[in-house]
Amino acid sequence: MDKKTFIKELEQALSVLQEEELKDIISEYEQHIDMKQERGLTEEEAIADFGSLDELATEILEAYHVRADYGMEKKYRQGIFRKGFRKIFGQGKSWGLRLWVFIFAGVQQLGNILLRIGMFWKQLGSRFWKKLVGFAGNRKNYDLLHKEESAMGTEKKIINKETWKETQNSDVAEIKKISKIGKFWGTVFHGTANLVKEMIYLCSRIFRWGIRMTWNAGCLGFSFCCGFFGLICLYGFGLLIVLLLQGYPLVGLTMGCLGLVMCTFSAACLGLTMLWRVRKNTEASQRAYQEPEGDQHA
Amino acid sequence: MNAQFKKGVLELIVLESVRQRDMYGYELVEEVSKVVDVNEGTIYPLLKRLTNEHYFETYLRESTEGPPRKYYHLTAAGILYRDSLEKEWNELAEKVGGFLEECRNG
Repeated sequence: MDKKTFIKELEQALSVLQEEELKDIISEYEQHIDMKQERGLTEEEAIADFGSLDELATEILEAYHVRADYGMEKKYRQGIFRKGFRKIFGQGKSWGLRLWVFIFAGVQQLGNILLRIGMFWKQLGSRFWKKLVGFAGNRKNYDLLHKEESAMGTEKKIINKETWKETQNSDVAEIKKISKIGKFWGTVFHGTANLVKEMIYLCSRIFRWGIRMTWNAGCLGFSFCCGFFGLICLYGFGLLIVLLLQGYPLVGLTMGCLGLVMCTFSAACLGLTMLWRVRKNTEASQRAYQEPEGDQHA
Repeated sequence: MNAQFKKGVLELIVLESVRQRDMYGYELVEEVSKVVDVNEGTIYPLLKRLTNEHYFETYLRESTEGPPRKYYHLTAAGILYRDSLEKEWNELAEKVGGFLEECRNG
């Protein structure tokens, strides 16, 4: 290590110190290295005499009664915690928005996971069925399989062919029996898995729908209550104006009533704007999401 | 020599060296190195600590070569501290010596 990098790294390790103190201690080490060089040592040798830089920095910080791991802890926290935090919440967004993003992303992810589980079951079901059919060696089913499994690797086809050839020679009745059992259980399994998948998907949809409906009902209830109260206030306001015109000293009360009317109506409007409407483009994206699944059904 | 031994007596050696005459950092490191073999880097933090605890005063003096040097001077508090350390050291050396002697005889 040469002098420049040594000084730079030492400065970095001691960056918790006040600038004046830092300069002071750094200059001591610089002078020490310079004097060593005057005695005929190289920079590297002089610095090597200091031993490990970390230990040196720890000892210097201890002299100031500073915890040596303080800076590192801070860096660690900045590195891991803040990065993760930013990843979840996104950068440069307001707190409210971040919270919403977090909640919605969480709900969406949950739905996705449920869907994945459903699809996995379905695929497992169809694979099981195909394998059983392949094992049974039914020629007709094999051809069907051959056509269906264009997406699957060629290796599998070869294996299937071999198993078919092997089973071809065995008892035909046995094959038919196995084939029937395989077809039956495969269909049952496939059907059950499909049902489970559809149910999970439906549950996630109902869950979303339920949350939306609850929220909307709350919003509507709130705005209706406010609107109703506002109408009563409006009625009172009209009554007060009539009384005022007849000479009663009710100016303050009338103004208060007017304020109340405006307040309640704007609160009702706020409730209406908070309604959770399903936007058309989100519906379209949902349909697009469903389409590939439709293909798998066929 | 045991590192813990060194650490304990290093303070006493540094204080005594500065009591003889005011010294600058590198000079002090050389002086201390004559007595105990010590990592040169560790002397500066020690000086720093003793200065912060007001056992040392520092002042700058021009040198014929290079930048001005920071000299260390022992304060009155430093002298008292040095004396107490010396007393402790003597007591310890006596006790340990006596114990070892006893063991050898017994």
